[in-house]
Amino acid sequence: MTLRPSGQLSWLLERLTPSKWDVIGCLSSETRWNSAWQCVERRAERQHYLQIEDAVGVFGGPTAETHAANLDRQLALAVEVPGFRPDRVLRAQLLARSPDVIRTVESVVNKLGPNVILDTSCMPKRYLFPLMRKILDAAPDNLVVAYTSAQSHGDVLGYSSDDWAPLPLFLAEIDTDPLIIASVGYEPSGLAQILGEMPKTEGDLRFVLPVGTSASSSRRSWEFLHHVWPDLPLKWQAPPLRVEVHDLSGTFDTMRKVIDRTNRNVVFAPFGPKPTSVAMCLLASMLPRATVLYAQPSYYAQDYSTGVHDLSPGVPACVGHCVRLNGVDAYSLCQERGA
Amino acid sequence: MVAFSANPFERAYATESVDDDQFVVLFSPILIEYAPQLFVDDNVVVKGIQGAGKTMLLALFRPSVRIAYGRAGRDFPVLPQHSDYIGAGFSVRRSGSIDFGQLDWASEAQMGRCFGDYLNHSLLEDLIHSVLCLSEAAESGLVTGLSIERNQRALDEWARQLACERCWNDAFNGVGTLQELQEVVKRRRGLYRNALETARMDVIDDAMLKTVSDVGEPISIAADLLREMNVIGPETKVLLRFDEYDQLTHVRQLPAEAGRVMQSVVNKALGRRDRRALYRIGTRPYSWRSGALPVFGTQEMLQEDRDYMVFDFDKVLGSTEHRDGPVFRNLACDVFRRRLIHAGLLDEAANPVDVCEPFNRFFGRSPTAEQKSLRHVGRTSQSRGLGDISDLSTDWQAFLRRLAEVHPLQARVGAAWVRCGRAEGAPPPAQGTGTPWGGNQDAWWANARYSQALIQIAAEAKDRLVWAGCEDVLKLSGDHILAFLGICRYVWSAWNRSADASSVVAWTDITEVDLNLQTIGIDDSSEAEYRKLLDMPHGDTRRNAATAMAQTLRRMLKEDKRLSYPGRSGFTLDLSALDRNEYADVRCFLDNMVDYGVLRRRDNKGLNGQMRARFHVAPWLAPYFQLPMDNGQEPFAPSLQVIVAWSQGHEISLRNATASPGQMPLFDEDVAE
Repeated sequence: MTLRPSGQLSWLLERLTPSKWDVIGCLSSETRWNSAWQCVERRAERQHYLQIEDAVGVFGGPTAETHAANLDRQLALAVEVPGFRPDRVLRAQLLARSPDVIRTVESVVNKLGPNVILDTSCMPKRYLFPLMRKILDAAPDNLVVAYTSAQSHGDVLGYSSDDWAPLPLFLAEIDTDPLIIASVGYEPSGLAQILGEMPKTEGDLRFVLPVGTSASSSRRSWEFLHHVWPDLPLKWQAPPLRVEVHDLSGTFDTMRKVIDRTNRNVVFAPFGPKPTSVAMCLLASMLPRATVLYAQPSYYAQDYSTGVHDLSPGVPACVGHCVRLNGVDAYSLCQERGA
Repeated sequence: MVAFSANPFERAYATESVDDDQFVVLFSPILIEYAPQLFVDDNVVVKGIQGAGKTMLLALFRPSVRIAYGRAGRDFPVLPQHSDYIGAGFSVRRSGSIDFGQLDWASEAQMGRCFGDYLNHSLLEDLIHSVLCLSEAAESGLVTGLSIERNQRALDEWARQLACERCWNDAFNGVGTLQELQEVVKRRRGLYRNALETARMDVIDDAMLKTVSDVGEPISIAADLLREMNVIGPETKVLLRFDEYDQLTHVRQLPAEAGRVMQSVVNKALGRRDRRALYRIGTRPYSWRSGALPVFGTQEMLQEDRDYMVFDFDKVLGSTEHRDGPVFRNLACDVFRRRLIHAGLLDEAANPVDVCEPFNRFFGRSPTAEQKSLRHVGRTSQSRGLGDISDLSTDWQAFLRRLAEVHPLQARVGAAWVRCGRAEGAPPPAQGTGTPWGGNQDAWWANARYSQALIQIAAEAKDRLVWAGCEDVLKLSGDHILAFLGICRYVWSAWNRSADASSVVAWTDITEVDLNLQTIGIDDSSEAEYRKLLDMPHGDTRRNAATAMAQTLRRMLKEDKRLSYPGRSGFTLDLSALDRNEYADVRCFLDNMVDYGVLRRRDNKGLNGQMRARFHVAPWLAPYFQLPMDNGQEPFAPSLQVIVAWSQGHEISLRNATASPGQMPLFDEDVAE
């Protein structure tokens, strides 16, 4: 049994051996973008922040100028954060071609030291998945994945979702009998697109439903399920796998057990919260033939989330999970199979 | 006792999303009767809007579906004279083609050549799979009507000879058996897949680039050799499916130019006019533009009838001149009946003679406009639908109020008739002598305004429009089988919830479903269709645009008390202007709305003799937006700014919709009333 330490990020870091960490995050208009940074600041060796420029709308919607102004505003606010180095920010396009996305994440990973904190809170999945995979490939001594809960989310999170496609570095041929694992989030339209076109004759589907969330989040999750449920074949309507929203370890094990029971090629559809997506990313990186499909919004809502959920006054609910600890993977398929 | 609480339309929503065994039960062979061109010795492009049934029709070329018919002991629905074919397929998205166009190719030409090679190998791999499983199924009697033989020696010889063909540029040197060929093909596809999965071009090395095959030719040779080796019969067709052609230019992560190059590669395969292997292309209507289909590596364009034929779902299903009557009606009735049989609610052995009987029995006849108006105003306050008529003379006010007690629709139309000055100052007729707009000319005038008058009456009564009966259901389905199934599903649900359904123990107990229940079901169905607009790529953009359009049009219809513009449930654009390059964005937006089934488009001659495109919100969305369907009247003619505003989701105030300085109006007629 491998130890998978996790907990409030500041609390966790105090108990880990390294004193200096490289921090990777993403600038955003969301309040929580720098919560992890606040927890790490004095232990930070280097900072690597991405700033992702959304795409313009298909017909109307925000223009490139609007996006540029938003990015400048984000940067201006970031300058005021103590210790933050705006010159270390790397700009990239949200809908960049896969090779360009991969080059961007490689340029970040190539500069990393042995101890890494990856703040997933505001990072678009199109960048988070390849970045995480490349970090895992680089095998740092220690890797902590952090996530900060927001106080609330906007009614609409993203706009003008593109046709579904594999996330960069997570493309494998989809068999005629895949096992689809879809996490439940707030906006079902992208998943409905994907499920509508998956092979149904022999394929199988399991939903991963995050629980332990607020009443409004829970309601939105169930609405999500109710939206996609009616058009699914009966055999795809198995009860969802319930996972605690912040429990990366439990989510990983729950999905792994389902995968262990099959030899099917696995298709992940990460539409839920980031900890679930991270668990999917870990599994997809370990499996020999896994695909991660996503319908990428062209641009995100300015009020994607507001505020930071505080554990106690002034202490943001920023949770860290050790993914690699002292050179050992805390998560692996073989080890778990043997456990 | 039959389980009438089950909804036969609840699950297995469309034959596109069911498994092969269910497909056998639910697929209506009627569709094939109207699609003989699908099986001709030519390339065929299957055009249809989102969800029209392209994938469903192309599924007939999948070996697994054909075998499923054998397994179920049912006749394959394709006519025997057409059924001697084997198929192989390529799906744009599941093959990773979107990523193909994103790699760092040295040039577009290199990308095009490699995509052609990837397509060749993918089709060859699937062709081998088809040959193997169909020959095995034929041997065990599951497949009939197909000349195919399971002969390992012949297949090995086929593989050996195919590998020696120059078209492969020595990529298959040394292959002597089918298994070796399969391994080589798999390995080469694997290299492409590896490049796609890692987004690394160095996987595709010089040796591989030197042995790239030309799109189309190898697969034709493979087909020919299959015949020569007697694996398939001399007349057996090899049909190659290429679905989601339009996706190559619709996905934003794929640079548009790369998508166009990949489409031109597919065009090249069709442009070979090689009857040894024929293509079946699935695409949305406006992604396939005749006259603008370049052939990769040449200056040529594909030409309809020379290089390919078109099967247009919209035209075929919309046809009313078939010898058996309206095509869509026949299809819908058959689909309705099949669902009941599949759910065990109708005994197949006791099939009704008339295929349409179950459908007619369930929905009944549609109420007339007059009957609908009476439902809106209720029995006690008919004059409610008349609205404010204080602008009319007291004589006319009295006449119309009396008329509204019995005929609210006539009274509403009559008020407009007087407002338009058609009374020419004459007093109202004496009671009991009919209405003055009942004459030949005016009767036509009045008839054309019923749908608009109903909108106004329903609005005055704070009621929703009534939709019910076979005619309404078919019109609201708009020749779109998915929309039809959606309506059936929700009306059945509404009926199931009612007390009417509780006493039904046999199909023959069912009588026409109550009009109110039908209206509730149809409204629910339309709302579901509206919600589903989000489930398509960039669906929110189209939904916002449709909402803005519909709200603008509805307001115009509601506020037009003279009923002067009864056709304004849609809008019209001059085709010659729309085709101009400077309006490419507007054209692209409207094409996209039509391709995704949000708008319907019909082209015809306008009042000035010019060809015009008429656009209406898709009929299945009309109940949600509370708009009437296309009634054939002259639609609204907006300016460029109005279309642009709609595309951005802005409802417009028509009085302010004038051309901005420096911006040419798109059409002569302006919008301000």
